[in-house]
Amino acid sequence: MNNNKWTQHVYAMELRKIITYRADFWVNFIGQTIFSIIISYYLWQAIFASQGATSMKGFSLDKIIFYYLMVPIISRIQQGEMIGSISREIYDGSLNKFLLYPMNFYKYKITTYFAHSTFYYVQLWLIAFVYFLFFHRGESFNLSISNTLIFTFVISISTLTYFMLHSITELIAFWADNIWSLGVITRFIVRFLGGALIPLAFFPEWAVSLLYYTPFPYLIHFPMKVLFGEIEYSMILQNTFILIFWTIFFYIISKVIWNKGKYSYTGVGI
Amino acid sequence: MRYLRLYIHFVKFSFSKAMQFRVDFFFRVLMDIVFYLIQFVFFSVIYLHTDILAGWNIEQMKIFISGYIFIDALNMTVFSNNSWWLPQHINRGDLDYYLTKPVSSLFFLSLKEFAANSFLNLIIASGLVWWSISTYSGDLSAIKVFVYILLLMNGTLLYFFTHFLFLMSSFWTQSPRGFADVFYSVAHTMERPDRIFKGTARVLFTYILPFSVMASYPAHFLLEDFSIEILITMLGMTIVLFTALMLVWKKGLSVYSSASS
Repeated sequence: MNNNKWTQHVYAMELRKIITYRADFWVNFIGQTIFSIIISYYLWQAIFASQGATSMKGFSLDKIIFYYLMVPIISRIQQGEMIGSISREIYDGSLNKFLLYPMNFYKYKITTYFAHSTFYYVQLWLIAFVYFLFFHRGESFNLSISNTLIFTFVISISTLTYFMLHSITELIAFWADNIWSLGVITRFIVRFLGGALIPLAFFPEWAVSLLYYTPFPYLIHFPMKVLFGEIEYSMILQNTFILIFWTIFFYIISKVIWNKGKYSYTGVGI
Repeated sequence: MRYLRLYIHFVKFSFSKAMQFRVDFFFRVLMDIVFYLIQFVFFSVIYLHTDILAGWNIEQMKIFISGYIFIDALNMTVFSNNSWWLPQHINRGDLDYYLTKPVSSLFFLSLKEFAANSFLNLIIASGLVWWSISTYSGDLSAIKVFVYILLLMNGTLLYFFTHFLFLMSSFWTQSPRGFADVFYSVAHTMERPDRIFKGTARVLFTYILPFSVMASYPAHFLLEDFSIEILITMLGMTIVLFTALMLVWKKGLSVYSSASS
């Protein structure tokens, strides 16, 4: 089987796995979307009402609701079903197959990872479509085709960045048992400092300028800026290069850990 | 008495197990500390843009935040390690092990794993409750504080009942996760003051999915004039949810096939 063929098979197999439990899938998808929108709508409506404002920090209520519709799915695109996907294999010994079979570990994992991301990516546009069809008022923001295409490109890279970052925490399982909580910590931090819980525009300016020295704003805040068309092309290019830099940086660390870790791996499971 | 003795064994066993996974122990503690920190920073950022949210100032909000953190910590310590595994047990047919024991299977399933690492977080969360109450500038009587703590414990029970009800969907869907993802989305309602919700949403989060009752009602009881309505609603919802839990559990067992899917 040539190189591309096996990745295609792995990708297709993973997609089939995701929709095995269809009832679960749809209830979770619709439920998550509805509840996250209800919670953010009422919270921000209360904040806007307390200030008697129709716009805050460049966000109207309409725009902020769309923001909270998109952001949880962006997080899901980037974070997929990653927690435990590598550490569990180290823990139970099933990593053996990657050491024996003629396939690249990173390539296999990225393929399965992107299968999940693709699914969530489709969900993202399904929700955006429903939003624009029934709820969008049209005054505060609009999406252009060019922005959505650039957004797709940026999201793909940021997904890879997150994969590399997360693989570092997963590979610590070579030396420590059960590092699930480390994955959750990473998720918490990325979501909060990336602007998933509150848009970064609401953070104090000093905090935002500090955050730009970290990869976090490039994972959520930056793609949303691209989608809203609030960032110039030169800045998009610059931020994309920074994102690529972080991806390579995390990949190098991850690879060093992998190379060291596989020699301390016993392959028998615990 | 027999059940109490059994639970003490569960706790002892869980502590010795936790000590075997020291790195995990440390990370679990760290994970919850990061979660607590984010909750306080989240509302601090919001209060940079408003003085009052849902009728509460930042001082009162701190009491509310530490309240739901306490509920989360108590749930993580006592119940969550058990709840998480329920859909997996159903999916793999592992439930047989619990059903064949000479104790209540629901008791065994919900309390077998005591999270020793989260117990440390429960101490931290209790410290946060104490800190938020002791630094509050208004008058709070000792009896009110005592009832407040009891109500937070009651809120934990409500949280656990709701969680378990969502997970029991696995009896019918056979999935290894149940409706866990929906639960975690809707559970964020507990982390928002109830008075931000209006109309149907308010009814939904009070009487059907009572997340607004879990932490907001105890905070109202502590911070506002005595209200019997709060106590009745909390107690009433506890009875309703417990009854629903027992009924769904029985129904679920009747369709449980035992075979792994």
